[in-house]
Order: sequence, then C-alpha cells, then structure tokens
Amino acid sequence: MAPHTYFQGEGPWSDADQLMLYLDTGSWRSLRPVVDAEACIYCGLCALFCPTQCMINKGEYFLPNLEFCKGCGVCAKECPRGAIIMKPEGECDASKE
Amino acid sequence: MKADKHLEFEKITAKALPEFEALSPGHRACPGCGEMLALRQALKGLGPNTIVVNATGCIEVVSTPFPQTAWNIPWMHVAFENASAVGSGVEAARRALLRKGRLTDADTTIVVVGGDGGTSDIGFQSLSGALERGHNFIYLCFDNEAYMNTGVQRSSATPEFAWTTTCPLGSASSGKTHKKKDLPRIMAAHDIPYVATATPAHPLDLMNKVRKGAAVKGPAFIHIFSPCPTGWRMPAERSIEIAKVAVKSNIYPLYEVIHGEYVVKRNSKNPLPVSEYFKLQGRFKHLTAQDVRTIQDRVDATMDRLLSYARLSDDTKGRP
Repeated sequence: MAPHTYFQGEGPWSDADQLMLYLDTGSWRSLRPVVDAEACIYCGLCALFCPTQCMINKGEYFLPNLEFCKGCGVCAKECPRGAIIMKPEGECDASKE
Repeated sequence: MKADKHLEFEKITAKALPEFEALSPGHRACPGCGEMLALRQALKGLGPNTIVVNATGCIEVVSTPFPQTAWNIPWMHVAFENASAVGSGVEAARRALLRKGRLTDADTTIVVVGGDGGTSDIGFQSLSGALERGHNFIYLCFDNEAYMNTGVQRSSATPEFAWTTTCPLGSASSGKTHKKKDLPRIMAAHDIPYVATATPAHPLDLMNKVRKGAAVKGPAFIHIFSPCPTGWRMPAERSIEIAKVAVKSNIYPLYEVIHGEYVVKRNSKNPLPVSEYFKLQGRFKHLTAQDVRTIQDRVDATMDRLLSYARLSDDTKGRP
C-alpha cells in the first residue's frame, strides 16, 4: 500500500515528513476481525466504535483495514448481528485481504 | 429537552454522519482505547474548520511522536499547565486578526484537549482563569481516571477504592482513599454557558454535545468518560460496554448544564447495581461487599442531587 494515500490532508502547521508517517499497527494484532458480509446489515456501528477508525465502507458491508487494525475486538463485541468474529492470526492466511 | 431552545445548532443524525476524520489510523494508542475513540467522534462532530490545542497526555503521546503525526487539522502541543491559557491566546489572536480584517473566516472552532490529570490537577488554574475570562473555546476533558501515559498513577479524578500504581493493594493500602473530584460541577459553578458529560458509547449524543459547545458564544466544557482497558485492567473489547454500564448504573450520569439549567437525559428508572460496573474491571476486584454498598449509597445520593437540580431548573423556568 502506498503510504501517501492516507496523509494527503496533512495539517498546515505540521512539518512532519510524510514518508515517515506510516506506522504498521496491524502487526500488533493477535486476533483478526473476520466480517461475514452476508450477515452484515450495514448499520455502521463497527465503523463508529472502531478506536482506530479502520473499518472501510464497502457500500453494502464494512471491512477492517488490516494494515492498521490492532485487533481490540470492539467491533465484534458491538456488532448487533454478531457478523464479526475474532479469529486467531495463526489460523488466518498471511494475506491482508 | 426544553432547554434546547436556548441553543441553536445543526444536529447530527444517525442517517447523516459526517465522513470527516481528523485523525489518521496508525496512531500508537493501545488496542481498544476509549480516549482516542471519543476524540475521533468529537472531532468528527466539529468538522475540519477546527484548531486543536492539546495538553500533554495520552492523546499527545500516541498521536505525535516526532517526526510522525496522526493529525489532519491544525494542532498544537503545550504543557499540562497552560493548555487553556494557550487556547485563550489562540482565540484572542484570532479575534484581533478578525478585527483588523486580516482574517475573514469567523467560524473556526478552537478546541482545547486535556486528560483528567491535565484538567483536574495540573491545568486546573489556567482552565479556571480562561473560563472566568469567557474565551470562546471548547474544553474537552478526556477522563480515564488516572495518569495513564506514565503508567497508571492516581489523579484527583481517580475514583475511591480504585487500584493504581501509586495506591496499590496490600496490607497498608487498599486502593485510593479519597473521593473523585466532581469536575463538571466545578466547571458549572463558573457560570459558563455550556457544560456537559458524554461517553464514546453514545456517539451521536457526544457529537451533538460538542456541536452545541461550538455553537454557544463563550466557553464550553465537555467531560468525556474515556474507558482505558490498560489502566482499568480489562479486556480491550470491553471499552464500549463499560461506558454503557457506567451510564446505566448511574456511576457516570449523562447531563448538560445549559446557561445554568441542569438537563438530565438517559436517566433510567431502574438503574443497574454498581457492582455490575465494578465486576468488569480488574482495578476494583478487591472491593468488599461493604465498599460496594458505600459506593451504591453515594451514587444514589449523587443522582438524587442531580435530579433535584434538574427539577429546580424546570421549576424556575416559568418565573417572570
């Protein structure tokens, strides 16, 4: 992923180097949120409650951005339909999709 | 609800949530951080035309280790003591520039952000001074009930009996022995136009309270309950649940003080027992049944007092 995509709107008072802005907090994760797109009712509570703002709106459902997701499990806990389960990273394939 | 007519503001509804994000993902907050979540929701409510003055604390530490930054809006870090003083300065400078015609956009919101230590202990006098001078800014106090970024030391906002590293458990000590400072009530005593309490588990309520704070002329103070899974010794996924339980059990009542009038909302007729709140957290696991009863009585008394204030505000409204 291009690190620049997230930081186009850099604040005018910051002189931080754009290239250094990307921190891979996804590597902290031990549990991965897996979304069941069929069960998702597109209510958006997971996106509203995600402390890292990493849920991506896919139009009909939400998917976590695994580059940043720290695996806290708030989305799975708050999902009214139980459409998100936390799966141990060891059981997932290494791809970030 | 009636007091709302004093405040004109554009309400956010669940169907029309703003897309705007002031913070980039990838900041270093612990998983499940309630403070960064509440901050994100609050700034979502305010929109991009915002200047943030940030006291030292978790928010500053996790979002801006040089040369990195998570902020997409103008942001300034200052010391614990003077965040409100700097916020006053920014507001006064903007007013001067507007007067001289060098700025035309008068709608910028100035937000001062502090933790509970930076607000109730160290930054208290500058905040009190700024409120007294009536600067037009919003102060957001993110209360996670201890000094979390330095490793869970007690602050004056830590509740009684809670474990922290400076009031540990053992033969000589069983948690904090002093009561929590009631910050919103102290701020309401400054007679400022708007004081409110909010939690990240009620995001629309939080966003609309912040927008009301921006709409009033003069200072607004919003006290935000910010669950901290690390310092409260609980699993990360509990941070929303704990805030909901705190409101339902009246540990953290949601209310507003609009021009001196108390408005209590979401007040349940059958509150949960406070033990429901304590059993979710490791920092309270040493509580005895006697301690829980003591706190239950105190919480009930606080809630009764709050409701009597609200009734008093209601009664006085009809007077000429």
